[in-house]
Amino acid sequence: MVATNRSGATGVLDSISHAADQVPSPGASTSEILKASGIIRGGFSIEERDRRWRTVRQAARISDFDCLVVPRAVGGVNLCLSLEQVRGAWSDARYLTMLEDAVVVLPVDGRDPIVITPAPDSNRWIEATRTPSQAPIEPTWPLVVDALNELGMGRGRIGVVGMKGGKYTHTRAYDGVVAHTSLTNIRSSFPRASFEDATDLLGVCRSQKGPEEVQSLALGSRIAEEAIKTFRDTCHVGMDESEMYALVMARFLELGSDYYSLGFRTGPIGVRYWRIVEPRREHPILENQFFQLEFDSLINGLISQEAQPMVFGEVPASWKKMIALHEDFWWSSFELMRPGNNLGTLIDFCRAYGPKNGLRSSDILMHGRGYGNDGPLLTPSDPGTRSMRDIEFAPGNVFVWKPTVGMDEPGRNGNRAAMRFGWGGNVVVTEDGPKRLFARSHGLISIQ
Amino acid sequence: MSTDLVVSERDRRWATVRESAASAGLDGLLVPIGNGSDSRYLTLIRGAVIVIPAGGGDPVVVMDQGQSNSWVPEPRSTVRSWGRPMVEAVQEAGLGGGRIGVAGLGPGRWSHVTAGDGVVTDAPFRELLRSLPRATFVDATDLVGCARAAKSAAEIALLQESSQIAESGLARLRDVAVAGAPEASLHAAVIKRILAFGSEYRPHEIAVDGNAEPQVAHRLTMGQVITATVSGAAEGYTVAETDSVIVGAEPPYWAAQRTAFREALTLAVKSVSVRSCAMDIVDAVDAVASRSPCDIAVHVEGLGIGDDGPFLTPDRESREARTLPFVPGQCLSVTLRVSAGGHRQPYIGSCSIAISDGIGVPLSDRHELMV
Repeated sequence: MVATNRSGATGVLDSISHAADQVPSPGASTSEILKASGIIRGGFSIEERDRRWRTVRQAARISDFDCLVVPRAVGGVNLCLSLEQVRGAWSDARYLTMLEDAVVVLPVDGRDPIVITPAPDSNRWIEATRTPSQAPIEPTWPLVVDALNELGMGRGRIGVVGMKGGKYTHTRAYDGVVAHTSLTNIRSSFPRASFEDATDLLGVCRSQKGPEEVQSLALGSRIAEEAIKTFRDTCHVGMDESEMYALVMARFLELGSDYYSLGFRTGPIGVRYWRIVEPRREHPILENQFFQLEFDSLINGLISQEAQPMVFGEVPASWKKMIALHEDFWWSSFELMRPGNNLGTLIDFCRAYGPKNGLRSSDILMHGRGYGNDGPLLTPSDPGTRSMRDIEFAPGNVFVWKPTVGMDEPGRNGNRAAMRFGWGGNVVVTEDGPKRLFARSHGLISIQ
Repeated sequence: MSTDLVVSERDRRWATVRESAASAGLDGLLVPIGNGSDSRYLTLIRGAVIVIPAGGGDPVVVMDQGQSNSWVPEPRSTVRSWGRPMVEAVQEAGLGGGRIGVAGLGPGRWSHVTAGDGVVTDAPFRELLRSLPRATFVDATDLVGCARAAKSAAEIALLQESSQIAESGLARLRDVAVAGAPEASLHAAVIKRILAFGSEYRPHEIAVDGNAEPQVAHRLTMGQVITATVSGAAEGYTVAETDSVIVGAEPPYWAAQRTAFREALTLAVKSVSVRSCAMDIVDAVDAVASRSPCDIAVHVEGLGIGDDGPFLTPDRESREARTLPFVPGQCLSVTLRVSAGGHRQPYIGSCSIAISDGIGVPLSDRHELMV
């Protein structure tokens, strides 16, 4: 595959593994990273568009659909259940069109998709969209009805994407993302057609990334690691959290990432806190304050994540053994992410690791990476028992792999581990096995 | 943030919508999952469901995974599934067979003004319809929207704070927009300034010579025009401010555009009052444009916690949006695009206005308008 239509083209991206390496090295300067961002973030090639449409059509044909519809989704400003879900609300249209807030009607027989947007829009993939006459205040659903009529779908079997949460996408939006008024009017206009959920159909396609997508995610990881360095090198005890937040986010943008909120939990080391995703004023950083941070970057709409804990003080001696065990846990579980293995193998390994190694807990924590709200989502409280076990790893899967371990603090007993440690980042499954998209060393960063 | 929304503000909002629901012959109001801006207005949380009986019973609120706050210290809880909890909330409010107003089913005149397809999530709402066959559901988007439009002093103070944050971001842009600066550094500098104030993030747009797609590695050159729309968001109350700057010395056409902008904006602000409507703003601007060598286009947008009305753009306009009278406390943004013609870049700038004591008052003092 050739990454065309990019000024200063990056050359041939002939495999996922190769694509992961086509980003600046960890020692690259700001200007080198910015130059790469300038090239890579120009969007995807027509070949990539055709790969996606071909894959989705083929999957829809196998499932006996005549047509797929991505209807108007409730946007993340209103459907706000989590940071990931907010970004995921419009993710299907983004995948198929590289447009935000689009409605897509894709016939499986090879005819071009009809794309509808609330306001006129276009890009390299989509020359023009259809738009309500009073954009953006009028509904899009009448144009969807027109499109389905035009495509002869009056008696068709129509797959609707986003009707409910899936295993591969919309994983945190259990009830889906589709706007009720829109779907109700579309359905009632076609009493002889059938409408069925096709969230996982598109979700599987989205989960198997092509080389261009992997390259974007690898660049995202590189930029996220630069933001980690910014945190490490410039933040200090006494600095207000809002200033810390601003410094880190500015670094992302300076290197060419689009904005994706920094998420973190913080407090005295060993204590659990709520997740924070906006800057907080009048919260100065304190001695021994612990931060469990998620550094996310956004390149070409794809989210990368690097999970890095830091502490403003010394790493407690009691934590060192736990951190060392986590490193072994991380690498040995990572090795299981290869084609032919399924999630069940990984789930069982994680569950067994802790008891075998003197840990209170060894929990799986991972989810897919992509256009937002990607799965599978496996967490300590929902470790994949909901029909996830049979999902097989496939080349092109990209996950953030950040399992956690817990230990009892010496002299303290309780129902839950007092000390918990998690760390990780983006990994890609290649034909030959798993590969990290990041480069930094394992560990809890101590800032003194 | 400097301003807290106290519980008395919650009580004012709940009482207002309760009263409106009763006046409309409804037994109660439902803000279902998906309608995040109305739920934030009534609970301070975007991912929540609230049912308010018109007859005076306690509202029932459902939040995700044990969330709570000072307004709703003990909500019902759910774990990512909303259909059944929403049914139970309506039943608990005693509305299982009632006439229920639903906010967000369609676009409104005061809120959700660009949500043509509504903002209600389909699957849980269908479960509600199936589970409560004796209840009737009608669109009540404007019921909450009208309450949202008439802002309290506390809300206006938050919008003023947001305006100041946005202005600070624009000021920073003016400092860093020099020849040789990479475009990415403009975005970084503006965001850094805004977040340091503790503002919530809202998308911003920085267009260089009319191109809003960032060319991150591109470096600015003399004579380029940068138009930036930068938002501040205090407690969700969002103000987007727009300004244009030119890299290097201003050419004569630029000064002419700025003069026309200033004159039109002054009259636009003066035209805003509790007795006027968006059409009066358009008329005021048109009067200046008719005697100016420049073309002037006007864009009017409501301010609040998201998708507030009126919404009026130069090429897409609704008669209703033009003529809907402003209400006391309503806040809006007026953006003018002033063009001297030819291939020259237009001057685009904005002013945010609150209707206070019956008249329009700018939220910031950037323009030193003669009002």
